[in-house]
Amino acid sequence: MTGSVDPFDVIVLGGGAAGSWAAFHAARTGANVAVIAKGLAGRAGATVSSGGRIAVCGETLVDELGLDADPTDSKEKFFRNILDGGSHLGDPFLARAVVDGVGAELRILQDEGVQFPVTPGGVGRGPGSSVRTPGPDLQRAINRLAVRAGVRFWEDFHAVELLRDDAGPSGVIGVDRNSGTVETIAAKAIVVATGGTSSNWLKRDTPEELAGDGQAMALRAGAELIDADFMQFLPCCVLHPQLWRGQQFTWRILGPQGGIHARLLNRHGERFMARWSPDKMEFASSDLVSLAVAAEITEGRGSPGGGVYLSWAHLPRALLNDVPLWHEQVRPGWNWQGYELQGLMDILFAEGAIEVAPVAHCSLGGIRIDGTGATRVGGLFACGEATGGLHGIDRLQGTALAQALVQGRASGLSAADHARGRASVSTGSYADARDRILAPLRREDGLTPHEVRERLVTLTDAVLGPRRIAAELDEALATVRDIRENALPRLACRTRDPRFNRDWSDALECDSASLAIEAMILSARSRAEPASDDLRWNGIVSLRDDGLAHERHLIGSETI
Amino acid sequence: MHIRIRRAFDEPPITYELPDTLDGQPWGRQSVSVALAYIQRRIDPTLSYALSCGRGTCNICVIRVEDEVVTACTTAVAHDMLIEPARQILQMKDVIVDMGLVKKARISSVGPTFRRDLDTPESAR
Repeated sequence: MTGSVDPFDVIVLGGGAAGSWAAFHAARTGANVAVIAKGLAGRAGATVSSGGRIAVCGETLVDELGLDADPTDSKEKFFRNILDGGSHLGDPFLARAVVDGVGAELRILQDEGVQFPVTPGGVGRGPGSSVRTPGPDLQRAINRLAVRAGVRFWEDFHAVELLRDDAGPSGVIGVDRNSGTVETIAAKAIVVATGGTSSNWLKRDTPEELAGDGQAMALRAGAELIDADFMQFLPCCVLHPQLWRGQQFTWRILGPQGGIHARLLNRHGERFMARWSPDKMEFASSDLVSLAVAAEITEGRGSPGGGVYLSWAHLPRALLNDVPLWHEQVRPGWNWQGYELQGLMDILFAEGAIEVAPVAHCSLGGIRIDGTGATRVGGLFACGEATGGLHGIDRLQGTALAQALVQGRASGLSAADHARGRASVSTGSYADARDRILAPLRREDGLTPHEVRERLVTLTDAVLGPRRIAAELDEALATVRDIRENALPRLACRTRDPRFNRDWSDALECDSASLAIEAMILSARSRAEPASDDLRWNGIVSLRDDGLAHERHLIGSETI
Repeated sequence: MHIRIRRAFDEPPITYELPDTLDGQPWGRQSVSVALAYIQRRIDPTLSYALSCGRGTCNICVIRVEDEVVTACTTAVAHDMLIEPARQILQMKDVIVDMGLVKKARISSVGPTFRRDLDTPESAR
């Protein structure tokens, strides 16, 4: 089965900030562009539920946006902060691009009417200055601009595999969830903007369905992942009660990060931070707290829900009652950033403690790109959280959205340029891919997809948390390879109706997620080796004939 | 402990029995999204529901409960609650409704914007 079809110039996989911004820039050059989104563009993905902070230095705010800010908060400082924040494992070229480029992107949004209140200085690992606009508002403006530029959207389309012809990537095959059909979409150039891999953790503060589809598709197409194991964790987010899972409120506002002396307790009631940081206790650095909590959990001293207890029981209730009176971010009725938290406070007052744990927040590793958004595969580009290499091992607040905008532009323009140089494309032979996609739907008996999906999530949560142990990673690598080899070929949907079939979606995600997880474990395993010298390196994963391979690339030794 | 879900407007709601607690946690502290996932996974694999941001921001998972439109991910489960699609005209399947922000620019394999110039293999059915 082959198809020779009327292609788009550019298709962008992913309809978050990075994807739609890439599409907008590509379409502005006259290219025929479509965004292919697994969920709904501008709603699914992590942008809409992000805090909306965009890192930008004072110098840029004054010079390029005419806003009132500190001009001595310079580009140079912003650049240094990004590299320092990531322990100099980030790529200076990618960092420089964000520092120099974010102003122009904000200017386009500002001209579209987006308001950018300036936050001078930063909190925690702040970048210096930043602006903040609520995620949904930002996403709405981006969608509006993209639609006006002529971008088309194919939503509820679960992209599964990239197609290729003799000249390179030529489109994508996947499932239209609404119609329940397998479809191909032809394109002269492809941008992967599918976001991070955080939905592979049970403990996370991010949306569902961020499985690593884009990372897996890119690997299969010949691209590399860089530092796939780097994941940003937030130290103590709500685990139970589930209704508020992922909330940072109790740690950031009502806990140590907010200056309030709540206590971390293990199941024995021990303030275990005394063993890690006797002076600072719960006020130790986020990294250390995450590590300590993870150790309590894996060593069997955690709470029933898989976390530890965050307790206010030693404080008078009046003290907590008074917080909204003086805290500038807490509104009456325990409203914070629009979230109604009265119910959570009722439980906290009644029981004194809740269960918290470090949660996966943002992928820092991902598809390896250069400053133009190009992967090593001609015609395949990537941007945003799907990519790696910018941040290094940790990141500053607000840099994820700055990255989405700057890399969105770069990859969109590069893809449009590539498409102009390509006369025609063929979707090639895709009968095999189609059969693979349909296999779980057609299979009579087998493994229930969500059960395998849950095994993968449990595995990731256990070994790829803030604490990484070589022996555990070895075992996990064997497990994930066993799942790929023996479980994936047996996945069977329990219902045949192909429309919005959750079992089918789970089965397809098992495939991409397991490949992404294997890549992350490989990288983490190499990073867990005792350092033999002071050399700094990035971990590069590629897919070869015999499977995934990991290599250390010394920093400064090579550029792509 | 049970909840009711109206999956089709011309049919009565279906009653689903739930265990008293899930992972030791009472339902009153868990979201309707958790209950919908539980039902699809453990009771009725044919149920379609919307996955979401889990914190009431993206609005993909809106449902109607007691005549009020709410996000499933921030609404606690209650005994005998009736869950319906948020709006009949927007219903896509079961409790999934079309909350698209870019409908006018949409392409798909079904509906008025159907593009026949795209290569469209036969249905998976």
